[in-house]
Amino acid sequence: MSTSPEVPAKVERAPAAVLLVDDSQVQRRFLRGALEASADFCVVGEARNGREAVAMVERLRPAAVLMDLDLPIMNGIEAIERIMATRPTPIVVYSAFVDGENSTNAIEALAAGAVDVVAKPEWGEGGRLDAYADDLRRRVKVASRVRVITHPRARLKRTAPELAPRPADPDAAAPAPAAPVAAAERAEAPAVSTRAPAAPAAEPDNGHPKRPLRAAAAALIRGDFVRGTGKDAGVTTAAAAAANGHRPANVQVVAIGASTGGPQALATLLSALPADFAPAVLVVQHMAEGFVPGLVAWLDHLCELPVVLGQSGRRLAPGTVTVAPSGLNLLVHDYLRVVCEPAPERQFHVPGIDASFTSIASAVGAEAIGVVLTGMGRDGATGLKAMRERGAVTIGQDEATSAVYGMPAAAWTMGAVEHQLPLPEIAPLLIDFARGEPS
Amino acid sequence: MAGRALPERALAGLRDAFAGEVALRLPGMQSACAEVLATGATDAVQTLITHAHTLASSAAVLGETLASRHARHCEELLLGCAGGVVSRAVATEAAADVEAVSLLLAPWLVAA
Repeated sequence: MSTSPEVPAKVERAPAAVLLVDDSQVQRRFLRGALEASADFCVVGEARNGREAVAMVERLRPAAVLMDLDLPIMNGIEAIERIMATRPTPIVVYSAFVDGENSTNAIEALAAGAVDVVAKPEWGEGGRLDAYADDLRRRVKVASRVRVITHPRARLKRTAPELAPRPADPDAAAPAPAAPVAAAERAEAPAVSTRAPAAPAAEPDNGHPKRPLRAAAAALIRGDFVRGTGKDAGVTTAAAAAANGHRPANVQVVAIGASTGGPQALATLLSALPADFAPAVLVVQHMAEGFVPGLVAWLDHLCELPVVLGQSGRRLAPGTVTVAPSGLNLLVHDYLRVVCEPAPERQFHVPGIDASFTSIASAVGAEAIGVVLTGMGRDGATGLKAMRERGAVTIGQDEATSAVYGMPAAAWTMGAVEHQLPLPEIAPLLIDFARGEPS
Repeated sequence: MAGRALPERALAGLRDAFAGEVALRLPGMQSACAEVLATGATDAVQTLITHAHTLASSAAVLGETLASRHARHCEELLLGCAGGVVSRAVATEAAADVEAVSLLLAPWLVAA
């Protein structure tokens, strides 16, 4: 055995290969300049339309794609669907429409499999273009490390917001290609990561009435994650978690935090909650300024529960999903009163998950459930820990189903997570706990 | 990640590219707009949307904020027309945007 001191070798990462997709030469030049100002990136190709993008992804196999949505010949949404169906690659889209009706386009891109969305660059005072470039590099870097999975195109079409008719839709009766995990299977699976001492077993959840198309949409999205799960160790099921964790007596609030990969995870989780789900639900999703209203509209379409944008002075309403607005921290006070306030200067992510969760820990205590979903960084871990210390049930998404196992890992490492679950198992556990005492 | 300012050379390249884009897109935008006003043809509407979209984004990068706003307004107006059917009123309003963009970006044609 060698006795020489071991000096850990510095791990040099190869620059992330990025494909640019835009029909504007100006945009492509700017993006190339912005990315290649850092040695972390290498632009390996430029596509001028969606069709070129699909072909170049297949040929060049970039680590990430940076794409405009409005493209000639084949538009961005179709290109994303094709790429995610054939050669899944992390895609960051940028859109000029950050608010108003057209912002749903960007959310549709997320539904199609894009991992992040940013606003288009604008020249501004004091070199804001440089600040934009910094933010862009950070986002593309995160995206290049995201694990993405196949997204069959035909299935995605059904989750698009424009397919409005729901209860009467003839597709409603169509069986979902990927069935949810059976309750019996959940009940038989071993519980290996539940930390709380064993509690009386609850009956496994056997489903709940849902509008068929929405149920199908949920199962479709859920199916992707189930396939992506593979052989997973160190996680448990909803039934096992209910059996082994402590049971909240009267759940008033379910608080959910998410970042990269969050919109799809939220769609999976929230669309599985039934119309009679009683607790108020708060969602804090890291998202570029202006895109949150589009996210709200999209989730509202997918979910049985109404989905609204949070506003100061209002209360979190039972049976309603409230989404934190961008640019402010959403704090919950007594009687579930909402206050949206500017974040401290040094806070990196706004809205902050930690800020919301910590306020809920103080205001709601043990009558809350905290959930940290996929995302880069550590936001949410401290807040979830505070919630757990006040007696709340806390849940973290497992590694196998997380697009980025960053925030859930930070929460888990900190001891903030009571139940670590695959994404499809989280909603059944919430439903079970929301019912109150075991039957 | 440590950020770095865009080098002047890169900015000069952006300006050159924008001048080229204006030289290409502005006449295309004007021509499509004239056709929309005359016939309301959906092909021309789509062409106008594409040019307006690209110029709006590029102008924003180069600091031509007002031109960018007019181009974006033109794009949004036309995107809001169900089935690509453009009323006379909308076509006239879009034409006013095209005229404003033309005036504001005319200096770039000289640069090209």
